[in-house]
This record gives sequence, C-alpha cells and structure tokens, in this order.
Amino acid sequence: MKSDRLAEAFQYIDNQFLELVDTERSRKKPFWTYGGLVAAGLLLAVILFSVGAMANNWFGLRELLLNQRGIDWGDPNTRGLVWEDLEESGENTAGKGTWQNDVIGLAGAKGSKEAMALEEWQAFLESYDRDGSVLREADSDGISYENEGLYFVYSQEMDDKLKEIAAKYGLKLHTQMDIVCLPELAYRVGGTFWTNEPGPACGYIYEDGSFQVDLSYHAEEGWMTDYQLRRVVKGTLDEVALGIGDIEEYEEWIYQTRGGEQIILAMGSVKALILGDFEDCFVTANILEGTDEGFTKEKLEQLAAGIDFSILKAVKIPDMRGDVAFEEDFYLLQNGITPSRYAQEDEATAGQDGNGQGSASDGTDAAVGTAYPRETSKKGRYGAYYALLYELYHEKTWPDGTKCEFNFEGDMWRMEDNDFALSDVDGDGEEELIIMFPTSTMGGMEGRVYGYDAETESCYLELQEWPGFRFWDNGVVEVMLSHNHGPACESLWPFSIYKYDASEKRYIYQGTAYGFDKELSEELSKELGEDYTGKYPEEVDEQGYGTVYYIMTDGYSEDHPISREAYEEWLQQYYNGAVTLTLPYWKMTEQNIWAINVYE
Amino acid sequence: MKDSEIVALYLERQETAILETETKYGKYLSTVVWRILRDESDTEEIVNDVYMRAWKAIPPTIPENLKLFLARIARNLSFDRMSYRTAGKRNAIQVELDESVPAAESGPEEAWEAREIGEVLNRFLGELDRKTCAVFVARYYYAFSITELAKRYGLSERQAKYLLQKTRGKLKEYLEKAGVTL
Repeated sequence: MKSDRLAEAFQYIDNQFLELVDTERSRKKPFWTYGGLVAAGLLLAVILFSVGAMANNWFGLRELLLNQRGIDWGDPNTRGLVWEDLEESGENTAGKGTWQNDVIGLAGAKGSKEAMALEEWQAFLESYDRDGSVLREADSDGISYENEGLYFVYSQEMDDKLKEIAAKYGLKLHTQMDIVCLPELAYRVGGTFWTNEPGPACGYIYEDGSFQVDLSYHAEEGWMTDYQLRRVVKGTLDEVALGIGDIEEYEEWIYQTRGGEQIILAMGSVKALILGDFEDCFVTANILEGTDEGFTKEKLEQLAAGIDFSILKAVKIPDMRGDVAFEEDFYLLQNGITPSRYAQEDEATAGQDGNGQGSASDGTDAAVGTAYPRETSKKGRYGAYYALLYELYHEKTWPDGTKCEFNFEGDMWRMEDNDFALSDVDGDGEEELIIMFPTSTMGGMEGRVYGYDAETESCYLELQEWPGFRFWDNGVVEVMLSHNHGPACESLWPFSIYKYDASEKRYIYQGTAYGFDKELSEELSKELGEDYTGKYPEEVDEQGYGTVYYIMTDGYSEDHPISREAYEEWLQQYYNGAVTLTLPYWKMTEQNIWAINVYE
Repeated sequence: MKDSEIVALYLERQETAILETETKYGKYLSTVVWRILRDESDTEEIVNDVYMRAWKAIPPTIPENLKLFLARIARNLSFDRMSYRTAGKRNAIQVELDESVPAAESGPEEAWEAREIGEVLNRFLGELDRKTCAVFVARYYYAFSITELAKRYGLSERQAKYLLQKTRGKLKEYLEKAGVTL
C-alpha cells in the first residue's frame, strides 16, 4: 500500500524533530524558554517587564489569597460552593479525603482597603450561622434588610456587620444593580471592550460601574471558551471571592496588552485567570477551563488580547436606567423609543419576571415598538434576505408561502429564540442566509439555507433539514438527526451528510451514518424487547473496536454493517482536511433583522 | 554514565556496554516499544533485540545522539514485528497516513524510495510550528495513542485528533507539490 511506503519514510526523520517530542511536552517552564507564538519583540518586553515587576512588587495570586482551605468531603459543616454542589448532586463523598480550594478576593491587591474589607467580611461569613438556623428562620419571616439582595445579608446582625466594615475602611456600599444585555453593558461602561464578537450575553452592573458578565470567546482558528469578566470599582465594598483550587499548581506571568497595560495571566489545571489591577478598578477574567481540558497559555494570551482594558480601566458612572436585558430593547432605547414592555410594567402583575416582560397571548412577543418598515431601499442579496426574514418574523411565513410551525402556545417561545446567520457556507463566494428555527414542536423544527439569485432577484432554497447543522469549509454539511431510531451507540449520534452541488445550486444528500456499540446490545434488547445480544456482527469488527457502523443512503437498513476503517474511509472522502466553520449567528430580533440593511 | 562513555564501551567491544545501555535507556526503550506493540512479552523480546542490533551497529556507526539512535532501532523493529503479527493487516497509523498519500499521478512515474520521501518529509516538518511537529512525530514515529498525545501536550483528545488531521492534509499537499510518487 502506498501509505506503507510513506510510513516507512518516517524512519528517516531528523533527530531535531524527534527531540521536539520531548521538549515540547506540556509542563511548567521558566518563561524565558517559553516557545509558542510570542514574537521575539514581545518576548523581550515580557522579560524586561517581569524584571521590573519584581522590583516594583507586582501582585500575583498570592497577593489576592483570602484563605487556603482544604475541603473535608466528609464534614457536613464545610462551607463553600463545593459542598453545596455535592449536596445537590447527591454524590457520596465518604472517604474522599480533602480537596484543596484556595480562595482569592477580586476586589484588589493585598493591603488595599477593598481587599482588607473583603477579607474581614468573608471571615465573618465563614463563622456566622454555621448550622443555618438563622437562614432557615429568615426564609419564612418575611423581613427584608437594607442591603439584602445586593449583598449576602439575611439578618440584622449581618446587615450591621456589613455597614460596620464598610465604615471602618471608608468604603461605600452598592445601592443599585441592573440586569443588562451586552450592548447595554457596553453603553454603560463607555465602549465595546471586546475585540472578538462574543455572541449574545447578559450580565449585571452596579451604580458605581462594577459589573460582571458571562462571555464566550470564539477564536478564528475555531476553538472557543467561556469566561466570566468582572470589574470591581475601587471605593466600594465588593464581596465576591473565587475558589481557584490549589494555588500551588498555577503558573503566572506578566502580559502586556496592546494598550500597554500590565496584567497577570495565571494557568491552572481546571481554571485560568486574567487579573488587572488599575488605579480605579480591579478586573478579573475567570476562564472556566484549564490545562486538564487542553486550554493553553497561547490561548489565554489570545483571549487576553481580545479584551480592551483601556475601556475597562477608565471607570465612568453608568446610566442606571433600569434593567435592559434584551438587545432589541437597547436599540429601541437608543433610538428614543420606549419598549412597550416597559410601559406595560405597571399594568402587568402576575407571572412577570424582574424585567417586566409580559406574557405573549397571540404568538407574538409583548408588543415591542415596531420601528422597522417592511419596505426598504436596500436592493440585491441583502435586501432579499431582509424581506425574507421580515416576512418570517411578522407573518410566520416562508418564501414559498407555507406557514412556519411556530409554537406560540402560552409564552413558550418567541421568534427571538430563533437564529440566523449570513455566511458563505457552500463555498460559492457569496453569503447565504442560514436560519435555525427550533421554536416549534419536534416535527416542525427546521434549519434552512437560502441562496440569492441575482438574475431573478429572489432567494432560493439550498437545504431544508433538522436544525442540527455543522458546516465544513468544503461545501459539506453534517446534519444531526432528531432521533436515533437505530441501535444504541454512545460514541456516535446519527447524522447525515450533504454536499453542495454548484450546478444544481443545492445540497445533495450523501448518506446517513449510524453506529452500534456491542456493549449496549444487552441494554438495547431490554429497551426494544428484541434480542440484540448475539446480533453484533463480530465478523465485521475484526480489530475488536466494539463498534460497527452503517451508512444508509436509501432509507433505514441494518443489513450492511461496516468496520471502523470502512466508516472512516467513507467520512474522509467528505472531510479530507476540511475544517468546520464557526457561524456568527444572530438572534432573530427585529433590530438584528434590520441590521442586514447596513450590509454592503 | 554519559552517552559518550557508553559509546566508547561499544567501540572497545566491552560487553558492559549493553549493561550500561540497559541501565540508562532500558525503561525508555521499553516505553517506545510498548507504545507500538502494546504487548509485554513482545516488548521484552524487541528491547533485547535492540541491544543486539546496537552491538552490531557500533562500530562502524558512531551515533551522535545515542538515545535517538536506539529509539530508531526500537521503532523499526517494533513496526516490523507488528507487520508480522498482524499478517499484513493495516494498523491505525497506516490507515491515518492514507490521507497524506498524494493524489494519483497521471503518468507511469517510478515510485520514490523511502529515503527520498524521508528528505521531503523532513523539509515539511521543518515548516511546522514546534508543537504541531512534536504531536505529528509522536503519533507517526513513536505511535503515541491519542490519549497519550493529549496528556503529553496539554490538549483535549478532540484537539489532538483535529491537529493530526489538519497536518495530514498539509502533508498531502506538500508531497503533491514536491512531486512525490508513492
């Protein structure tokens, strides 16, 4: 076989490449031997600044440490998130020993009044109400305290202690907190503080400009990660602390941002951190994965480079105009239109959430101000896409005149819970309109891909399937099936493959893949009432992988199982070095639909 | 004992050379072999064969890097044993490398020798970043499993598979551009 000759050629690999197998393994290294993607100039800057940092006593994780705590898994009095999580999960923790959970404060470096106040407040909380009796009484006494809701306060004693600590260190206490969507947060903070589109997000902001938001970072290379970004404005008592596991396992280094800010990056096995101590605020990014999950120092630096600290460190007092949790409400407010749900806030009482959203009764969202016309002057591709989405949103009608099966019973769904994207998924050099429509019954959910015909000035359908798309950059799309009607398989959810045909201007079905795990055949027998034990085709699975596959091109059939090698050979003809596409999905809001008009 | 001192024992034909080699590299060689063969008794046998081959090869060969020299012998013997054991059935490494085989040539070109292909392969590896190169070589030279690659290089298994797949594709393009015929 030709690949045998290629495999044989590997024996002639130079020693310099064989040595990399050892030298490039993931482990702690002195930063001056750190390789990767750091440009030589930046590396030199890091070295110089780290030397300077030692001279100026730059902070590190240890400067933020509140206490080092070993969590005794068998001790019911152990406080902290770990124990609460375990209680909820019902996990049996007997005999599991201790787990190190060091806690850092996020209010400022050691010695600052914010850090000292936090430490004192946290120490008080650690020792207070250890048997929970006060809390149990508070749940039913109906009494509210001044700082309840903004702080972890549920008794007068706690309220008094909080005020005492704040006064001792000359700090203010928070007085208001609003729930905000990302555009609203950017407006209040003073600008867009990210350089990589994080997708829809929601957070909260205080009257002094302190805030927290959960974001996703989507790298151009295709990887993504979730993180929490928190800014604590100095001068106010902030009570949030963070458990980081074992502080000893973290590797820390100084990173200089493009704006010239010096921040600390810290990499652990289950978590990574970005820490910035500025004159008016302290900023933390808590990345929810570490080296155990394959997160790397390079990725951490890439994520740090995607945050604009020049915006974050310039604290301004925000416009506390109440909760603005929905993006369409933000855009209406910016255009001087008061969202209807705000005007109706006083009328609607029962069943409302804190945002004052009324419940839908006729299938549409509580009447948001309709500031956007059906007809626009936009022509061509994007004008056609706008018209298509407008009809879908307002009339629940697809271009072919059929009604979409929008499930609007009660207030289960809103049109805004659907998504759309503009992206060249079929490789023809032009952007298609991709619509993901899950707001329906199982049978009514669908995903669609529309192209645009410039000659007829109309949209045409390229693909209509279950909304479980994964596009590849070679015109192939993988579509997950809604149900697995086949044999049980842990490692493979059945999927179909379609390939774009430029001459037919549509995606052509290639086949559907199912898997069958031998070890599940007994379970399957019980579930289906049919004897699957003994049905596993051993003769096909010569290598003993324990899984066989079926490629079905003409309806469901278990007649022709194939081996893993044959399955991977079938896959490779479609993937063949292609990479998956990360599409920039937008929520199907009026504002987002309107935004298509600005496309060139 | 330093490598240069061990090599000197070979050159002086002192049988303690093998003992010293075993002391310093026995565990390492066992790991290299086991990773390919995944069998205890075969591993022991092959590692002993490595010592014998080294004894026969030095001199005239004087290895610049004794560890890698021994690893090469171990690797080659292991793959030979695997081919014998599987009676010609293809292993996972060969199946994966299928993706890197250049597209069929149009004319009746003569197939390149493995050594010639090796030279092209080295140029290709030289153009990769260090980590990708390490992962690729670890897989196709030392036959690390995906799980081992992930742990060693701080990746998830999915990331390791993706990295290998991407690099196999690049290798194919590289071999095609170089006009390699297999």
